Amino acid sequence: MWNLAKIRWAEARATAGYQEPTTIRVAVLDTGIEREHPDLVGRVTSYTHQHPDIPDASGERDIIGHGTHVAGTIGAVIGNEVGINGICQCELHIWKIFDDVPDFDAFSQSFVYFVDPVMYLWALADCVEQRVDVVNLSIGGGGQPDHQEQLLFDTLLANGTTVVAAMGNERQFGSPTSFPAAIAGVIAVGATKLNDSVASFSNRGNHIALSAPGVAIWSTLPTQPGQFGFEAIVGPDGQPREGKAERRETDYDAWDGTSMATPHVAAASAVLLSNRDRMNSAAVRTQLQATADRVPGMGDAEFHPDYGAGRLNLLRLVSEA
Amino acid sequence: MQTITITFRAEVPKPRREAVLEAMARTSGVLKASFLKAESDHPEIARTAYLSLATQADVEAVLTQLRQLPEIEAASLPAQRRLM
Repeated sequence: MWNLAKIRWAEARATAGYQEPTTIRVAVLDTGIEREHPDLVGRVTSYTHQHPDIPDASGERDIIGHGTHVAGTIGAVIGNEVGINGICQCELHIWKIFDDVPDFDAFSQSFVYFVDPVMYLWALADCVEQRVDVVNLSIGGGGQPDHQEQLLFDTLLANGTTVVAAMGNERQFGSPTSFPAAIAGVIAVGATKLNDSVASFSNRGNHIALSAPGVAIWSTLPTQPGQFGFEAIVGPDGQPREGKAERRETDYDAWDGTSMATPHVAAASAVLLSNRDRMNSAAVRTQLQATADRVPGMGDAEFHPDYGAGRLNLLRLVSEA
Repeated sequence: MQTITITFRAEVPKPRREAVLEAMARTSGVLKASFLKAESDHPEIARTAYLSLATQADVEAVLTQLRQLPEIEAASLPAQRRLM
């Protein structure tokens, strides 16, 4: 797996005194998870997929597979001779924040799944109350946070929780600012390729903290079929309706996205918290940035809006931080 | 369905918050008015609530009504979030 080699995962784990973050609680707020996947079985500490006030909105299945992919990168079983290795064996706490009904998206002219705002706020509130250590958010959007979203992020960060979010994949559209990555205090992650250059889709911006591998990332997918969404066809009433499903693979697949880069940094944050004295999100960011590898695209700069402070290096994080 | 999120002012007591939500639930187009987590003892979470509105509801009218209430600190349409 090129991504693990690039961040020097094996060397980091071989460091004398390396502490597996088995008690560090990492929250993944995403499309759900397939807990019975052979590479995730026994790895999920908790899975919340329903809101008590909207019990029919969301079932247990991870239809899209995005959350199962993200969670696999963070914490798939290590060394089981099956599929992939996760970065660490932290506690995985999963919240499904998408409902199961796709909505028409005028921009893409297709039916896609959007974050359910109530399930999202509810998950953030749970993270506040349960004082999770790290939150992975491989989601985004251009709208400024409303009062409630901002309030919950402020509370999470004040609690000392490390929040990691994807920069976004709209580079070809001028890298519009995406939230929650651009919320102050959130660690925003861009995506790099095998040669350490920026991925063609990865947003640039002055709020980027660092980068991590985000192209052709192999990880877990649900063993049951599912889809990203549906093409739109015009119904008899002239309105768009769901057409053919855009199917995804099952079991495993290589995906691109700042979504795929983000869990590398979330897992690395868990490893840092396990191997050093407890620290707040700002200190975690400082250590991630100080130990990142400067990449050729940065020139001589300490910071670059394509890469932040550079590409994640887990070995240096464990041995130098 | 559409959603409006609400933050009550910190000094508003819980019974008054409940009364506001009960009144809003009777407003045209409002399907549900609820605290985010009714049993939370966290002060910031306890003052967060939401309304679920029918697709054809007049959202702007409901927002205007909410923002005129002295108990409400903020009422807004949540920003759309999607996969990256």
